[in-house]
Amino acid sequence: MSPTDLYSATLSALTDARAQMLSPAWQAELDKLTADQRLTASKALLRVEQAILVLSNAALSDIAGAMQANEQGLTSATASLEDALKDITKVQDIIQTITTALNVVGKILPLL
Amino acid sequence: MKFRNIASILIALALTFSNGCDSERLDQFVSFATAGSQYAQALHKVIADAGSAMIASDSATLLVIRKQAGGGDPNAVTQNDRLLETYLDNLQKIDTHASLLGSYFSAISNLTNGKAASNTATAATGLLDSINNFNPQIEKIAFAGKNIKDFVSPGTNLVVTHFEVKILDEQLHKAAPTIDQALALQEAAVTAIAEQMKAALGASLEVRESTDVIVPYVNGPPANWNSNRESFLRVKVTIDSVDHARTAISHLRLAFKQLLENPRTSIDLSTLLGEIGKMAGYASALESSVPSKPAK
Repeated sequence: MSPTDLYSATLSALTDARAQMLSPAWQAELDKLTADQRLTASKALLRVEQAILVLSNAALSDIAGAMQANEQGLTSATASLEDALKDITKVQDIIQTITTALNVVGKILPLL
Repeated sequence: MKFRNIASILIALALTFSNGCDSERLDQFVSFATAGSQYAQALHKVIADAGSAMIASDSATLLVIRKQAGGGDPNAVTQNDRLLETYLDNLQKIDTHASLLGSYFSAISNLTNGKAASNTATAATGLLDSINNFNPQIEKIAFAGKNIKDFVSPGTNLVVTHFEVKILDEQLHKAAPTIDQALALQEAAVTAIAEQMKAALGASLEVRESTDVIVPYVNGPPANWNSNRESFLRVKVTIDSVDHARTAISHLRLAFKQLLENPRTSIDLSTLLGEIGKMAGYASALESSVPSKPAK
């Protein structure tokens, strides 16, 4: 996959995750969980939002090499995330796949 | 003798036709330059709205995070503010670049009457130098991962055909490559901005439908519920209208090329002006869609 495609797939997966995590359906799922679990979910959403902003400001030419070096990890993580987002009731799975994806993105450019 | 008369008539006809064509071309050039200035004006609003869309998206996300966490983290706001500042700074550069282009178009429209003072040409050249110096900065700006330069569709070198007005002809021969590049960069920037704007508006609208429309309806609609719902729906249907800015700048670049290269061209200014008008209309729609405060 080219760096452009890798970038687009990553940003698209994170944007999809944000859209799901802002939806009333996600909020309804969180309402079933404990306060600690909701706090964890809120931190995951914050990390997703900040990763989107960091990626949006980054120039692909600066990170193309790092993206290709982490191609396998990125491809696998974004595919898993898109897959997990299909079932919004599995909150813990989604948060886990988000954490995995952000860990890979963090190897490419510094996240907050 | 008869041959001479016919030749004279043909020459006179040719001169009349040529002058007519050139006059028409100059008129079209003035109209084009006016459209260029109007584009720059309309883009101010689109740029402002692109920034607002990104801020609204982030604010909506932070509010949801606060609700889920049961409290607000000031560091999160500060960190996101810094990231948004970078984005807004990039937008500002695109806007300044467009303003320079608009000023340049205004300046060169004054060169079409042939009686322009030399300081008018000097002012145009000064603006041209500023655009030339600014173009590399615009190329380096990143939106959605790509440098603006990566969005630029490759073009061919412009061949400027002679304009009868000498001062305009000299100016355009000098300016053509820089202005064509600047228009290409604007086209690329607007394409990139439109992509991000749609994503940002999509995110904030998701939240707004819940917070401004659904939840208040379920809990018992406040007096302003209908107007909030309407404003939400109006923004939703105008998201795609940001594409008018993209179409407008594409038409502007094409018109510039046609006017310079083909002395007998007839450019489609009505479509161009229509798209610019829709840019402004879109901006107004967004402006009027700010949700009203709850009635007391």
